[in-house]
Amino acid sequence: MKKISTILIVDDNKSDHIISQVAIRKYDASINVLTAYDGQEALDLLETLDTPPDVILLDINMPGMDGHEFLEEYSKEPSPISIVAMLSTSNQESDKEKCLAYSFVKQYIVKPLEEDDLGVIAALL
Amino acid sequence: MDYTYEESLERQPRMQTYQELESLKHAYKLAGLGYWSIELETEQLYWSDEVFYIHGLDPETYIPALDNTADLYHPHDKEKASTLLQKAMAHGEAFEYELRIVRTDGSTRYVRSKAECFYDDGGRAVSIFGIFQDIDDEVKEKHRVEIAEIAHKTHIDGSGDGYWDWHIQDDYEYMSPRFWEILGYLPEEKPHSPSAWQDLIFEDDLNVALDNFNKHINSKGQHPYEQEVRYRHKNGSTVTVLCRGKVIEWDDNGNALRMVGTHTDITYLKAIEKELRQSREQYDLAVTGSSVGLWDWNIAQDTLYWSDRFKEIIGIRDVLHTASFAEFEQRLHPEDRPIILEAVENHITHKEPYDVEYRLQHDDGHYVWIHARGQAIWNRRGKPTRMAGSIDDITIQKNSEIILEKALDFQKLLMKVNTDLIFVKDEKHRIVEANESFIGLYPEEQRDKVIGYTTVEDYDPDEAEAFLAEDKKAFREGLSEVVETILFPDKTQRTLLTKKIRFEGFNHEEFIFCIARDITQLKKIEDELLKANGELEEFAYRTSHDLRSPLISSKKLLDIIRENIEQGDIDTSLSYLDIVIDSLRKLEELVSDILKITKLNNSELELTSVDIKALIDDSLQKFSHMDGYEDIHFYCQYDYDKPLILQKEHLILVIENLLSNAIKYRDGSKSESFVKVETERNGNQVSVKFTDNGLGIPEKSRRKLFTMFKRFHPNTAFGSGLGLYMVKKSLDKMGGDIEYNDVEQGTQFVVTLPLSD
Repeated sequence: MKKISTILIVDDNKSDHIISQVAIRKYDASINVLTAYDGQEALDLLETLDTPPDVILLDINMPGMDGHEFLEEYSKEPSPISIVAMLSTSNQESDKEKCLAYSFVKQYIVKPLEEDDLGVIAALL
Repeated sequence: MDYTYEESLERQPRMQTYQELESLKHAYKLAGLGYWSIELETEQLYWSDEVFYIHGLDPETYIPALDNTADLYHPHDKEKASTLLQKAMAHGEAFEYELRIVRTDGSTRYVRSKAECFYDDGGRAVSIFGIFQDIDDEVKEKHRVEIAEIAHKTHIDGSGDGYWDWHIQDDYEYMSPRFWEILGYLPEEKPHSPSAWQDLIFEDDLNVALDNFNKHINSKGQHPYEQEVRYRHKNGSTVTVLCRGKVIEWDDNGNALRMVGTHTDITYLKAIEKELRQSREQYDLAVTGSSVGLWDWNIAQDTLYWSDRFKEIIGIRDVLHTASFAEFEQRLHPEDRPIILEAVENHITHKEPYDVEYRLQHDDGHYVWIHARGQAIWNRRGKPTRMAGSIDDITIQKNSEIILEKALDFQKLLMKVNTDLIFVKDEKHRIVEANESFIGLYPEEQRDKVIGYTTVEDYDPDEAEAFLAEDKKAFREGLSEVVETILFPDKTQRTLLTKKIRFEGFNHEEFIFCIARDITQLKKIEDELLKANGELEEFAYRTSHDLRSPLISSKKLLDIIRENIEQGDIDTSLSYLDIVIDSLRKLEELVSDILKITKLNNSELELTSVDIKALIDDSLQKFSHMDGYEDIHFYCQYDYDKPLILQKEHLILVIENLLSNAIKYRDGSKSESFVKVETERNGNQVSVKFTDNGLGIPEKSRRKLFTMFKRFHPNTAFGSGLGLYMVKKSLDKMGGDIEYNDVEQGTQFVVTLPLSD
């Protein structure tokens, strides 16, 4: 198990940002948290980073570039090194399958994100 | 020589030179003319040789004299000849006659004589000179023509028949050679007297003839002189002759003077008739109890025999009923009459087969369908004498035929009026039958090239291959059913539900009956329904997501707030509470939009007069409290400001959404934000243009602009994602449209609204 040092939260909803941040702080307050409000913003941010985040928490439903579109763009990266955990309001099978088809998508989490979910994610690193 | 003989006599002394006289004689001889003269002083009669010859007398032995020549004339003409000659001798009167002489061999010949007197210088008659000519052939020919004319006039067909000419008072009767030929004699063998034929006729028949003759005379020719009489042929056999005649000359006292007539040999016909009667009787016997009726028309006598069965078919109960051709004609259905009479005529004159169907009137008044066949008999000279045949009552068949015909007509009518495409193909995929709807798919100039052709080349090769495959399936399996979309030769694309069913023709060849229903419209509706269903599904999914999402978040956030309050962190709690409140406010907005959509889809709103300028002013007033409103310059230009007739609520929804979007998505980085509204009339439409210099729509998102739950602006998102979807829906309901125009900076929507008359 590797220690998580940086997490990128991609979500359009302010409430969910707070919820995720509170969960991360409870799990490990030392984790560095980055935020983006849609897929495009996240891609732009990743572009600027020297070290990619260990985990990307990705919301599916977003205005602008949504979660699915982000995954498609991200898969074109030469080496997508971050693992991605999906955050979804509903546990819809078709959606889940589509996301888990990408090798770098390791987890599909139904909102809200809980402290325990981060332990599971860390175990996958 | 320019003088006539008379002139030469006047100008020159009598007794010309021998030579001149000889040449004159010679000329007369050549012309077949005889001549005679009487010296009045001596009453001496001179005949040229021709006169002797015409009389059949020898110039060497016979000495003509005024007192013996009258006897040479036919008893009937003797008096006339004497009178004319006496008048000429007494008064110098010229004369001309055509009279009969009787030659020494007993034969009678017609002669013509023309005579004139000659006078001396003192004006005294000195001589009579006359020409004498045998005109028997000429007269007989004339008579023959007369008789033919009479025969024609009296409807006696004289062609090929013998004829006779009876001078009743003189007991002289001329029989044409044909008559004697009929009886086997040469004309020379028999005298020109009624006794000649009366010796050869059967006694009973002579009595019939005499009886008819008396009746004919007594009725002044009204009673027909016509009978079939038997003669003994020279060879002993019996000959039957149809004898007809008519008096053509009467004297002032009403006595018949001259009668003419014809002889027709009907021996052969009689034999046939007898044979026919026998065979008919046999046939009658053979078919008794069968359905066949018999008829036998004697054309010459105009009698018509109908067998008992014939009578039964047309309901005649009177077994003694005698029919006539006129009755047959009368009973024929008026529609059939001309056709049948023509068929009879064609048979008896052109020998065309007589095999016909017609309707005969039953005694009860209704018509019976008859199938008739017949055969005429012609005499040796090609004249029809009888026609006989059989009839069948085909009413039942005919009625079922008519029913079938009507059913067929009805079927054709059904095919014609059917809007489905109905056609029949043979095994080579050729169209053998098609209804109007089907043929109508081809351009007019091509329509006569449909039946009998595959027309495969008129279709897209892939489509043709597909429908030919269906043909083959139908031939193989008996049935094929498919929904196909085909581009037809008339350039229309149709979706068809096509059924093809195999069937067998009369000669066991196989066909497929094809019926294609145009379901283009149905398909379109189905597609629309599918789309609407898809939308509904999406709507349900999105709704559940977008409704649940803020609820789940808010609930979780409230848990966090509780924890914070318990830990005494009031400031954080309060800021989180604001977020919860904002989230719930948006939820409320979403629920309200969803309700609006439901209303949009389900209600029919009333048409009202709408002032677009007033609506825009109201909306701007309503949004004046919104964030950023103060920073925006609004420009409104109403080139069209007349009232519109449409559903006001829909138009309000459109204007409010577009204006609020323009305010929400203004570009805060710009020093000056503006929103421009312009109205303009384009034909029968009004366009309302909304232009701003706000954030604009990212290029890749534009195609999804008017779909549900699409938000395009991260971070600034506070819409339900239903706004433009509702705008589009409302415009659809109003018959309008919306278009997004690509502008360099910001957004431009052009709304078009229909202008009502």
